[in-house]
Amino acid sequence: MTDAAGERIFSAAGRAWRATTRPYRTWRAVSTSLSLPVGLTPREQVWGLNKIKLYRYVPRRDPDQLHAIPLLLVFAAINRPFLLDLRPGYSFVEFMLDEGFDVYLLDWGEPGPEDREMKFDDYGAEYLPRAVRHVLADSGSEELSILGYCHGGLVSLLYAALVPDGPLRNLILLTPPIDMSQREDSLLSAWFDKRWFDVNRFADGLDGVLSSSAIENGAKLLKAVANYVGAYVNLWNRIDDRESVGNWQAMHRWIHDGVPLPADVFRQWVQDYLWSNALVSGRHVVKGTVVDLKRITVPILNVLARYDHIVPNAQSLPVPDLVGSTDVQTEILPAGHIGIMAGSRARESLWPKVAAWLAARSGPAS
Amino acid sequence: MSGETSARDLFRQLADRTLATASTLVDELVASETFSRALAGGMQRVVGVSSAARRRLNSVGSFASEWLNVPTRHQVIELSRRLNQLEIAVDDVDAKAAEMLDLMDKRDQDD
Repeated sequence: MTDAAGERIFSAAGRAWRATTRPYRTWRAVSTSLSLPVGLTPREQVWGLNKIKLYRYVPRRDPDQLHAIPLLLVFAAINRPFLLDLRPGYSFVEFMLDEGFDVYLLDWGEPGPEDREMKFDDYGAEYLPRAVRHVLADSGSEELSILGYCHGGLVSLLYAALVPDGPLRNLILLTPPIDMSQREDSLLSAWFDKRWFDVNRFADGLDGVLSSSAIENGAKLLKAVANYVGAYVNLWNRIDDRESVGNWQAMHRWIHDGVPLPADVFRQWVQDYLWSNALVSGRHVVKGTVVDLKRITVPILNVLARYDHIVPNAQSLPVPDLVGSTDVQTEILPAGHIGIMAGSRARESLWPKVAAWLAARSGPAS
Repeated sequence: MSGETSARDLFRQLADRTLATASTLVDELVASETFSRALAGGMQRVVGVSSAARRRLNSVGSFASEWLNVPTRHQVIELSRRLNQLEIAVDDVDAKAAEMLDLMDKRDQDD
């Protein structure tokens, strides 16, 4: 037998083995994804209140080489924030640490029935100001930058409007759902239309919280075939690529590891934000103060995902006209709502853009 | 071998097209008013039924807890709420104390 023939036999045997074991390997990748270690960048908790935790990531540069202004990451309350720190080598947090930023993360935690009376406004008016205070106390800085992602962006904008003379130096909004008058492409607006959805009856019937599985399936239903079938077909097709499988597992874990939402948070979000668009129309009152977005004067980077099916671009595009800031930059990147942060091209598109914009406004890092 | 490959490619193309077509159809379905009404109605019915069952279960649970002389679920939730409020009050005191310390530091520096 010649070497070439032997090689062909081994090659054919290898292909046959991979084809035969593909179903098992695919099943195994799915079944082990929920125990995949994620969010591994070293960090320490610097503050906690109720379920909320504030973490500081261990800086990767000496203190004199860090940017002067710390960065606080504020994620949506309906998901776990480890999307920002998925896996080593695929982590936005890691990237920002390498760029010389002092990074803090606000984790809203997992609410229970005892939090049922919490309002959506509490995130921005009650808890975020406290977290900001602790970031400043821990870092020794007098100012900070905030990056708010999805509903975290809405919460951050609310905070910025309520504390216009506060320590906020820069604000980055990632796919923020702000102007709810733009309803054309919004499935959530259609599903929760007040003509057929009685939010009070629904929220009153919940056991204190809207379950994470309900939120997860609602989000998946927005692109049902892609999420319920396409995701697994993708895994099947890429099962031989170890890196791809690792990323798929991390995303799968993130999608299936959601957190519940307090009933009154959901009620207020539907009534005041989705139905009344009160924040934009200037009729939103928090603790006796009318929320006036024009009072926001800090520099803003407003980043949208062109193929976003969760927050249509039309809901984020009006930000520059709504705020009082003169330094507002809007970027539309070719990605989806999640892919913009955790997609394979995020490292070349979003991350350096955020780092460069922030570096120019965060004091020196040598 | 090339026949095998092309058959596999054909199958993959067919699967991709089927998925794309199904995706378009389902996306149109979930965007329809009929679906929105059905979804909202379904959610409200499920919550209505489950909340009635939960109330019944809670009353049985409360009765059993009282009989066993252990706290009821409602009492535990209330206690947890009060602890949260207490934690917030402590954080407020901490903020005030930090503010006062800052002022005292500034005054010392001015002196």
